[in-house]
Amino acid sequence: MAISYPRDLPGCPQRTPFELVRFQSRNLTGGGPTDAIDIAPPLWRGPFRYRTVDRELARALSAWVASMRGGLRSFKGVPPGHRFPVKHPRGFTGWDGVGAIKTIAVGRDSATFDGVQNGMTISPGDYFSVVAGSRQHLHKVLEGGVAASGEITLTFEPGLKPNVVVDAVTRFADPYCEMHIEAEPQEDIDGAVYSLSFTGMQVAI
Amino acid sequence: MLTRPSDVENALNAGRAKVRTLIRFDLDGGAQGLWNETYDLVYEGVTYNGIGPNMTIGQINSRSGLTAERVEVTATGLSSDVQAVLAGVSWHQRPALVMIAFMDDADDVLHIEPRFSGFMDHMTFADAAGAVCSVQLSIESNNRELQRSNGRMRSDSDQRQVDEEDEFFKHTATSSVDDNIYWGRKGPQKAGKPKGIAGLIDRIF
Repeated sequence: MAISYPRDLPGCPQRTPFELVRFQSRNLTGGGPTDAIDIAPPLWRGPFRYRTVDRELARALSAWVASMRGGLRSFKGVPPGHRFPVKHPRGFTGWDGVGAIKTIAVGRDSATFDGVQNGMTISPGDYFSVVAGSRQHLHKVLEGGVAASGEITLTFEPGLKPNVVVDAVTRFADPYCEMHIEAEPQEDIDGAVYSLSFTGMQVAI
Repeated sequence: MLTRPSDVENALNAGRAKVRTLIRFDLDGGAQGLWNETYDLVYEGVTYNGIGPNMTIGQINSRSGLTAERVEVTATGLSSDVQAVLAGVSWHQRPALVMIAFMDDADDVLHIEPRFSGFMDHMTFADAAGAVCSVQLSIESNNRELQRSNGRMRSDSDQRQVDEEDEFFKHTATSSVDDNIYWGRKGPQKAGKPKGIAGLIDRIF
């Protein structure tokens, strides 16, 4: 069976922080305030760590890393520990977690989504992803809410790019962005314990 | 006088701004553009393909003399196929224009202004194992045209070839002579005629 890319992450990595890397030029002025000029779009970066005694999983992880061919191929970077909203740790019952954008606010850092399950609670720190061109863009919720009438309004960061349009498919379950492995992954076998760690960097284009 | 929209001026004065860099290449087949965002932008009929933070612009120097400056543009994370593509394109000594786009928080372009204009001069392609594939382009400033000699002279005869009634350089030959003007004191005095017996002899002989 042919492997398609971006590839799903195998197993369940340990909970690690995802960071939004900003490309800014900062200068502390003589008057005190710091000037900050944003010079490029931010990208998501995060560590992925596995530790397992399951030999089958260990081999699957090793094969998965080999399939990445270093940084040449991409995978679905789901923030570890954030597959689902914090209020729905086991996912959604009777809904696949996929909605769509209904309206986008003027500043593009807030939007209303429809096609969501009533009662779905999104909290600050949860993630969702939307289709942007040929990619998935990941967003972290700043102000959440509870879905009613199949709709929910959220404030998030980073804002939606201009190529994200109304009706764009939105994932609240397993949100991801395409990533590639940054630098060499570290594999180790200590007795019966297999460990794997690597850092993923968003592929934005 | 350079004019910018008021909101751009306000952002710059506050020390908080969001900028992106655009590069326009005027090739034989038409103008091509790149910019460091994650989506494409159409500006003045030219589509600027987004290549995200993979593109960096070197320092742009400004000098008061006529020295031709250079700016280095580097694009990384490219496919190895790029080398074959670039080899088939006539890019050498074609015009290139580096521009800066000021954005608002919603990623709308507020203002675009040129920053550096020149000609594509050197291109270095790097593709090595264990490293990212990158292209570095050196753009030489338009100022180099000011250093070319075209046979014109700052003389009356040369100017008459442009307009036979133009007398602007009529006194060029004589006006270049230096002379001293003594202000507030006597200058060097000429040697006068001798007096007394020496003067009598000088008058007779």
